[in-house]
Amino acid sequence: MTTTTIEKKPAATAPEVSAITPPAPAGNRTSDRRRILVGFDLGTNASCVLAGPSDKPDITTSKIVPSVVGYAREGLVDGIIAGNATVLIGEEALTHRLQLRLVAPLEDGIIAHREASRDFVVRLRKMIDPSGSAEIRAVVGVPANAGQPAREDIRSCATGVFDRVLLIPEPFLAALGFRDDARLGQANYIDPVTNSLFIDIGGGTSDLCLIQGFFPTPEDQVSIAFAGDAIDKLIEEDLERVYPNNGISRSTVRQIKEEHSYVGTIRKPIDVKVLIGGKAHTLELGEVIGRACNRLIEKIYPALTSLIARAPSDSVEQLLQNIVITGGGSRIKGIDTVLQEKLAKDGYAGPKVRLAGQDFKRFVAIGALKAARNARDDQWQHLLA
Amino acid sequence: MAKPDVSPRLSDTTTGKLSRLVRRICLLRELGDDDGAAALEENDLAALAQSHDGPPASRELLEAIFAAESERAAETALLAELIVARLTRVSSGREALVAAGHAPVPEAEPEVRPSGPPAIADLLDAMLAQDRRPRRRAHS
Repeated sequence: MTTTTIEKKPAATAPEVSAITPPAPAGNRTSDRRRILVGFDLGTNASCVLAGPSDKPDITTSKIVPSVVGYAREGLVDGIIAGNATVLIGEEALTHRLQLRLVAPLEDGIIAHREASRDFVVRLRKMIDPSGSAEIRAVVGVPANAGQPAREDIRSCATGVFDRVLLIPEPFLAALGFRDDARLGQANYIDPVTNSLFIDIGGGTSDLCLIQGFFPTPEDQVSIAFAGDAIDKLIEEDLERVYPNNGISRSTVRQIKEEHSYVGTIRKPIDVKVLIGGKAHTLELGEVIGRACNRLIEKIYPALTSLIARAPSDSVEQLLQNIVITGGGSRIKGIDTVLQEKLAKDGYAGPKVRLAGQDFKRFVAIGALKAARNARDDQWQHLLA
Repeated sequence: MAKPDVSPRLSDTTTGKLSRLVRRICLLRELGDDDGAAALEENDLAALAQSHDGPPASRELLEAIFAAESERAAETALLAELIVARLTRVSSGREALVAAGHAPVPEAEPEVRPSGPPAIADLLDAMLAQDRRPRRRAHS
């Protein structure tokens, strides 16, 4: 239930913020401060933040927060919102949705509303460092092949909130997060960073990335503006066509999708109980859901095969064993088997497509925190206002 | 018999002045100061191209100077980045020795990477190098 009344606005033009490598600017010396490292997956519908001190492997903050900011409506009675807060984020904002104007900071994986994005990041920082005194270095995930304006928007929002940042493509971070460090070097373990193809299906974008032991080039990454939100929209439109004036909200559509989504042969019946005008109805949605979700396969598959074609011939056999689906889209029933069958049918040798597993919401942030812990001092980018 | 070149030519002094000014413009662009570069180009360069005694600088000449100086500025910036990164690493290891008056130790030979899983810092180096390339192209 994250987008029912969410207002989406186009991003304003961002003033350019310089991102430079050291030396640090005068007056911004941070060496005496406690340092916290952050892995940050800034997602369209949900964001994940992991943080811990730079000198220990501990994780002191681990949160998944709906990507939503709520601004108090005028004329609210005192005490309705704890502390008479005027800006709330995440679950708190959703709890008080009636009293707030909700704004989604991101759209299609990139910042769509700069003020809300900054408010979101500022409040996340308070969760990480309530004292406000620590030096914060954050690795932030960005969609594969995010353009310079999208990156500048993130830097702009992080300026004055984080001390240093590194922006890294999300599917690469997902591979890093998925990597089982304890098994590195074992004969039967294929390191996903050494040879894998990651498919990260989020709310706004589906990102595919070929990873073969070096940092993926722009040609090794594909970002498709079709993911969970686009499926919701298709289901909503189909519902409206089959059941006109049903009044079912986008958030209800999302709940239906999350519970019943599947790909492959149309399954019938899928009976779903909904309230229309306060009355209970049972709708048969097997075809509606299947059609919308199968569109995702149609979008992803050509990108998948084009990336496989880029891999050197002596690495393809192992690569085909290491195709991993992560992100919210990995919960669509049958998505792994349908892609695997399609590859096999098209003649690919013994393909194996698997799901990243239950931690799908965290892999990008886990990878981001690993990157933060391994980044050299000269690799971090300072943020100058 | 070759036809004598009768096209008006700029003096070496003027060409040198143009080159120096274009170099400053390219360096400002490399540093991300597009406004400063644009101001120099629109005001100082336009004035210099017209003001000297002799024919105005041709578009071809200016394009050739810009191409040469852009490349020089990009190479200089790349060199500077490499030096800064190396000095940062070296200085962190030598600070204590230098402070104590010892001569700096020679820099160690680059470590030979074992044939194992790729190191994250090395992957980040590659990513940052990729990030820099399009910025340069956009400025050239």
